[in-house]
Amino acid sequence: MTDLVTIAPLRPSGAMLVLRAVVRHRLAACGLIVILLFCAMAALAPWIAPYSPYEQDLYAVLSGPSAAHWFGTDNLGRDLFSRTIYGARVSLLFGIGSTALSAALGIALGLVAGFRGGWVDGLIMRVTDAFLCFPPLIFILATSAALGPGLHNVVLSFALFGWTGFARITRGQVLVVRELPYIEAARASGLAPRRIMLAHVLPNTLAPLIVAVTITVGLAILVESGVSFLGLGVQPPTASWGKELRVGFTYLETVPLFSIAPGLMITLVVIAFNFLGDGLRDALDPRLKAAGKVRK
Amino acid sequence: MDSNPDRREFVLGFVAATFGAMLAPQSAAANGALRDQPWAVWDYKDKPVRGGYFRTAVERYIGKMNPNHWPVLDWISMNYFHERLMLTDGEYKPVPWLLEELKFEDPQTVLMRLREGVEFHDGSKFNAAAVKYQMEWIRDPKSNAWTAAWLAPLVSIDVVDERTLRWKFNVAWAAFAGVIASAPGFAMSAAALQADVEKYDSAPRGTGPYLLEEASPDNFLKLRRNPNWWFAKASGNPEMPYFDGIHISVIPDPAVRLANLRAGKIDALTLDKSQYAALKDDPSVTVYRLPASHVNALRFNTTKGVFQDVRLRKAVSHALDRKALIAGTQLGFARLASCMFPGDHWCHNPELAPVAYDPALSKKLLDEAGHANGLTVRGYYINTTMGQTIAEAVKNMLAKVGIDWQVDLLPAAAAATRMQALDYDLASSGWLFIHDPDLMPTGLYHPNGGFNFGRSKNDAAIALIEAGRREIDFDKRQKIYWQLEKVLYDAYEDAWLWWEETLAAYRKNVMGRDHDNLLKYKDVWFWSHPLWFKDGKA
Amino acid sequence: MAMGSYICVRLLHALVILALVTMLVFVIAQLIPGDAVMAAMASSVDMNDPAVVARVRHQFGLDQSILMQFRNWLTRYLTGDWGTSIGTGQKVHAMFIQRLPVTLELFLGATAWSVMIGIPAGIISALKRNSVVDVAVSTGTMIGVSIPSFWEAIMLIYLLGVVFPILPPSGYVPFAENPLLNLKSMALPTFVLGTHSAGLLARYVRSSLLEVLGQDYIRTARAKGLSERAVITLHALKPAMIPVVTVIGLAWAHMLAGAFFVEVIFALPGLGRMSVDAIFQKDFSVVQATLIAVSVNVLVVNLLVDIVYGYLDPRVRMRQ
Repeated sequence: MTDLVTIAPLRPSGAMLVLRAVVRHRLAACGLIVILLFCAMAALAPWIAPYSPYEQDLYAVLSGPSAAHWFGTDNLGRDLFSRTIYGARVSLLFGIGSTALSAALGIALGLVAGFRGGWVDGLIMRVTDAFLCFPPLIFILATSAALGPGLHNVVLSFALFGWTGFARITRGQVLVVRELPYIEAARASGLAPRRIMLAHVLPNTLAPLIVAVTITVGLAILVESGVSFLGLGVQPPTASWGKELRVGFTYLETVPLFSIAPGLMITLVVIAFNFLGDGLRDALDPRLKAAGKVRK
Repeated sequence: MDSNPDRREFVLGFVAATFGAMLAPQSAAANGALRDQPWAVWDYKDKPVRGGYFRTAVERYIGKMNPNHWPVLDWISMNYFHERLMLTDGEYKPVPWLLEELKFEDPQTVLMRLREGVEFHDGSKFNAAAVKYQMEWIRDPKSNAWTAAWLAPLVSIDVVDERTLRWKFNVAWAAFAGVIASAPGFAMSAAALQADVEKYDSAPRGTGPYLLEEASPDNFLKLRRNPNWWFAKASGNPEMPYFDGIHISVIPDPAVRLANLRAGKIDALTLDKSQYAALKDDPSVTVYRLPASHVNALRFNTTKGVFQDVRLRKAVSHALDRKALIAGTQLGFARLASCMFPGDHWCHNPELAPVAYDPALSKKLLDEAGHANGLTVRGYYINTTMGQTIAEAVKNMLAKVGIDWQVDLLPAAAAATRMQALDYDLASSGWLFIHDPDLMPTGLYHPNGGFNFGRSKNDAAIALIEAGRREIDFDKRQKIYWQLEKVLYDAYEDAWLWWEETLAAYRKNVMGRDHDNLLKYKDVWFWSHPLWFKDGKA
Repeated sequence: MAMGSYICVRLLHALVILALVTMLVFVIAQLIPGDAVMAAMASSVDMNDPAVVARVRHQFGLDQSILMQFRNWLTRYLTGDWGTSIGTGQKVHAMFIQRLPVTLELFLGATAWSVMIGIPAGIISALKRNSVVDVAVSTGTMIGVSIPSFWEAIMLIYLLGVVFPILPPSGYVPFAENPLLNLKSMALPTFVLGTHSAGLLARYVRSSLLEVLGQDYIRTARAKGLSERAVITLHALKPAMIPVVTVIGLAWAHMLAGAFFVEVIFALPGLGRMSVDAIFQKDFSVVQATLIAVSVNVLVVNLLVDIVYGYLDPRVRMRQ
């Protein structure tokens, strides 16, 4: 009995491992720092931004960078630098929020489907399939249009389709993991299914899921830009990177920063999440850990 | 029509569906002796050269090519292969084109003489029989022509001889010339219609300078030179039109259209106003600025809600700094509007001045009307990029005087529903292609108007609109519309913002464009003075 | 469970899903606010006669009850008449046939790019884990995933279409008409789409390969004395490709709307652009026809993915 327990990988103890991963993995550290910086920027926006993001100056529209306006002005004369700073709020909130919701839904359903098997699996997979039949953008557009304008509706719409990816990956991984000897052993030894699922199966499915989470945050931010352009989602005058990116498009030749600044911000944040995800994956992958530390 | 002038439906800066005004009974002005017309001058410094395919780009594909079938999404391209019985001049007054003469024998009867020597692309003759067939086809319910209602007063058409028709109406129909200068007036080959009506939607047979060579839906239209164009012979310029053909690409994104122009892949383009800064110093391109007959406005719901009080409408109108709006949203490329008819339109009342920017007055009026602590109103605006910009700017201005305009940015479908349901206090408005003075006022202010639905009920205005439809005398009709403007203006029925302008860019090797005369004669100059490539090469 | 009956069961499931989707699509289309006819007309020509509006509405059968509309649409659809588009006036069937090759070519090209770039990138960075090469490749693929696709598109258009005019900035020419020009015009759009999924693919490949390499049986193989190369190619690659199959499968299943921005920016007359326009104009016939076709595509692709899954990982197949 004791042998089985000690050979089985331990459940990750969260914070300790994150810290360890971050310290060991320099890129992950960079990623985390960048994310925290952006979060700080978003939180401290009212103090950092030189102007209000809503202050219009119709006689100074679409002007290039200058001493007064570091990034120039947008199509209503508002300071682009300030709007970029404030834009972090919306984009980050949306990215993290909708991903969290999607992941929660998807992982839960995927776990159940993969582990239980049988008709439960069949039902969940059919529902997943039905949702996956809709092209994501169209689904989000249609749902957002039906729910009405407003960012919260886009979060909901995103989660309503986003969970499917997580469910499939989770289930796929569970199907593989549950065949592993120590899971069989755990089951044979009479551990309760729920305990097995949470304590043993879940940790082993985390690796690709973490990658998926970080990618989804980026995807969410990108989706927000597309949806915001079409008039759904964030309503003016709120600034969001996605919105600025799309509006700035038209003025690419005259005020390139209008589009480039939010584009860069989006790219940076998404890269940061991805680096962080890499580090976490390395830390949480039990087999890689166990490769160094099988105990007797 | 009721949408913001952001609809990029013109390629070369010009309007398609022209609604001319009524002609005087004296046919002198309407006599189409072509070469006597003031615009019929072709003294070019460089001789025109034949050759080359002219390439341009539009935002949307044309859709159906029978002007009476719906939807048609690109009226400019339509004019290349279908010509109208009448065009318009610099003041948007009608000019005979395929017609030679139009005479009112009495208020309910018109005698029309057609141009001779005009042939359709399939070789059939443009004659009285063809026109009669076309008009009766439009009126036939089986044809499903959306334009049928526009010919409602028509009682009968009689062929008098090969080139003459007599039209009989059941009322005095002042807007007749305007109607035949618009969609129903595009001459279609009766033979082709008779042979296969459905095919006509994608294989049109008109009289225009170009024939349809190839149509790739949502991708491009390719047109070929018409070697038998009647105007070439009639004007004494047998080499017209000079291009071998026209290629119209469908490119939805304005930045990509510009990229194509820069890369030399297209020869001319209607610009987004913000693109002017990028092109004004480009040595290979010339940019022209032209007035357009569109008006941009805000509409009040004057029959339900707070804007029944004229003081509040006044407050809103005076709270708007129109100059700043033009500077900011149109980058200076628009004309301050006083009322609904553009400044160069013959129905524009010259005594009206644009509403002054006076926020102090607005606040005073709000106070008087009992809203000293601010006013909240609802509304919508079209959610295109330009629409959002304008809506935000206006919202900001109104907030400065204490009016909170809760504007929803909606796609066209949702906006149309709100408009029909009268579910707004203040919303987007305007009209595109203002030519015949009856269409816009009817649409916006008459109970039967397609864009009213009861939101406006100004009895004086309604009476004037109905009078204007019946008044055949040109000067009297003009006075009626001037009076109509004044009535609407004094009542602050709507807040008119600006009259549009367009920016068109041409590569320097495109010749023949006389900007001063274009400004003077507009539509008729444009179609009578085709362009050419320097040395005949693109 | 034998392959044959497996497929049969899946097909049955697919039919059920299709039925559900059909009804769902219809319902969603109804929920979107706005009147299709008013919108389309307001955007193309002015209407000052409600009688005309009524006539056009009748022409499209919009004056009947929802149930009747659904029934009429369904019967016509099953007999091959997919209706007429309210927005463009063309027959939906014809529109579909015209646009399908464009979208297909777009996705074939994108998949080619993403496989060519993504899989090698993922393998390299997994094998050379934590080295400079890994970081460089990871960062590169990361950029591919992070960059907004339409932004990348327009930057490339300016770079390779205007500044260094190598490729046409936009537009589509059918392959049959002019193969070289077709490939030139599709180069940028497929590249833009491809780099995004290449990034995704690379990350999944890397993560999956690393996992597989950490497995017991790999250590066993190494212990048995096999060369590293043999270990990788014989034992590690195949199971590592399972998520790859999922990713490519998902990308293909969603090929339609995923290409929307690319199609709009590069002015390609494809299905993505058509469907999104239709949603906003409440162009029922187009929306319904497209979504049904899409669902069929998705179901077929999913079935294929699962079959390939089964081939790659026998344990999965036996479980079914």
